[in-house]
Parts: sequence; C-alpha cells; structure tokens
Amino acid sequence: MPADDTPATEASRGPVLDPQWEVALRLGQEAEGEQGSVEDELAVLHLLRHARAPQPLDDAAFDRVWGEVDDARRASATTGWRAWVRKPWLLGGAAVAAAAAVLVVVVVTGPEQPGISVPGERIAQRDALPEGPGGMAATIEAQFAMLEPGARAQVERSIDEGRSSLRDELVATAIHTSGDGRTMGGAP
Amino acid sequence: MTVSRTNEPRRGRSLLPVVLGMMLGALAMLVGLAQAGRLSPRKPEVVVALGQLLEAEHRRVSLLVERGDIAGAIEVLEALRKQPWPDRETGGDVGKQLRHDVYGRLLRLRLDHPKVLPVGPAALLELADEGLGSDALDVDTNPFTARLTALRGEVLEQLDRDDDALTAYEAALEMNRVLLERELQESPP
Repeated sequence: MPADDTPATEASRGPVLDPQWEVALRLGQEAEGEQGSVEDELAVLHLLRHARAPQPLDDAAFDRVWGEVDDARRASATTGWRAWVRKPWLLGGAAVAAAAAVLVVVVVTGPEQPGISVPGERIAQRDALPEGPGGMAATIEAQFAMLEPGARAQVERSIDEGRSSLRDELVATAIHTSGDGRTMGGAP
Repeated sequence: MTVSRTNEPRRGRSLLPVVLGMMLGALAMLVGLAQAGRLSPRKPEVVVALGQLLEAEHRRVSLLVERGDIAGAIEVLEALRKQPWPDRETGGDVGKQLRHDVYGRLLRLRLDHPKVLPVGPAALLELADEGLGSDALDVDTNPFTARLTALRGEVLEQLDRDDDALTAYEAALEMNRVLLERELQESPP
C-alpha cells in the first residue's frame, strides 16, 4: 500500500469530509422544518469519507459476513440448478445424449455432397429440388427479382465507364488536333 | 556507424526498382482480378449508345405496362428486337447482357399475356434462342442471361419437352447459384 493511502488526519481532510458537516446539515434541515431530503447527498458524503479513510471490519463482523456467504452457497447447492448438475445420473445421461446427437448428425444427414459446399448453392438446391418444373421457373423468377437491381446498377456503371473513356478520348483528340495544346471549340 | 550511413542511400536506391516492380505487379493483379471472366467492349461508344437507347425504351415499356397497354409494350420490345445488336467482341459482355435483358422482358410479357398479339410456342422458342445467341454460355454469369435461359425452359415446357426444360432450368439455377455465391462473398460477414 502506498504511503498516500494511509488514513489522513481530521485536520488534513477537506471541510466536506468533516463529520461535523453532516451534523450541521441535519441541524439545518431541522431548522427548515424537515423540508426536502438530504439522504442522497449524505450517501455520496459517506462514500467519499469511506474512500478517503476505509473503515476495516472487525473480526465478528467479518465472520458474520462469511457465514452469510456460506449459508447462501449451501442453499444454492441444494435447491438451485447446481444441485441438478451434481446428480450423477444426469451427467451420465448428458454424455449418452451427446453421443446420440453426434450419431444423428453423422448418420442421418450423411456426408456433404460434392459440389454443394457454399450457402448460395444450398439455397438454390433447396429451392429447386423439391419442386416441379413450374415451381423451378417461379423460383428462378424470384431469384431474378432479387438479383436484378444489383445487376442493373453494375451495367449502368459499365456504361458510365465507357462514357468516361469516350470523353477522355475526345479531349485527347481535340488537344492533338489543335496542335498548340488548346482545345478546338471547347472540350466537354 | 559511418560505414552504415554511407551505405543507406545506396541500399535504398537498389531496393527502389524492386519495390516499384512489386507495386506494379500488385496493381496489374488487382486489375486482372477485377476484369476476370469479363470481356470489355472493343467499341465502348457502341455500348454507351445502346445503353442510352435501352434506358429510354425500358422506361417507355414500364409506362405502357403501368397503363395496361401490354400490346404497346410488346410492340416496343419487338421493334428493339429488330435493331442491329453488337456482337460480343464489339459490345463486350455488357452488350450481351443488355440484349438478354430486352429479350427476357419481351418473352416474359409474351408468356404472361398469351392472348395479346398471340404467337405460337415455336415462335417463342425462336425468340428465346435468338436472344441467347450462340455464345450465351461464354458471357460472364449475370441475372439477365439466367432469366432468359429459364424463360426458354418455360417455352420448352409448353412444347412438352420436359427434359429440355429441366436442363434449361438447371442451367439457370446454376447461374443463379454462382451469382448468389458472389453476393455472399461480397457481403460483409
């Protein structure tokens, strides 16, 4: 513990941390006829005082607190979920259930089909296989509705790029035509 | 210490070409990855003009459909069908996608409204094959080609060619699977 953490003397404490301040505050409250509440302010004051000079628990209080903690732990062990966890038959049953779940996953679902390894493919296969041709057409149309906006935006970007390159070519042509580095009639 | 100081500029000068080479290589790799599987148009002016024309025509078709003038919308799209389309070398993959989009929209309207300006299933199959062309499988995977392929499957279904229809649907689903995979890869986890 650093030397600065030792409890300070009453003289070195600030006026707010002086216990007399609390007494004066309560007297003032009584003089005003118990108007308003100062409990919140006093709680902060107690916290500050405790932080400034921590008050150690005596042995009896310490034993009492630990006794309460032990009682609470015992009560939790006999009545809460921990009591269930400690039952031996439950641990054995959980192990059997986990093994059964692994068997179900491995045997029932089977190994993954080659070529079906990505979510997009699973989506397409799941949508397509159980349905007839008419259903497949509807599925593809629905997928098109989903993909169409992005595709249109991409096509528009490509056309814009073409437009931009054309503009650059026109500017370059105009500069070459002028010979002296000036554009003919103003480039776009 | 004196020796190391005199060597520092020389070492920096010798590393400079290596660093520049690495940066150029990385740049080329990024550009290559961005363009992987996509054919850029040899004549961008063709794609720009086509894109502007189709943007206006698509809006016109949407307006006509909203008004309930399905015949008018089909006529507009049929007129577009007759216009000269750039091949893949000239217009690149974007030109092909624009074409597949128009043909897909026309075929969708034809299939949804068989009594408007009616044509037979054989003509619809001809329309689908014409729209897809011979190099549809070479085009970078996109939703417009996938949709037109699936619409071809619907026409084949009308013609009782169920096996061919199923093949077309599976091809379209495979394209959409690739596109969904791309979407999942591009989206943040």
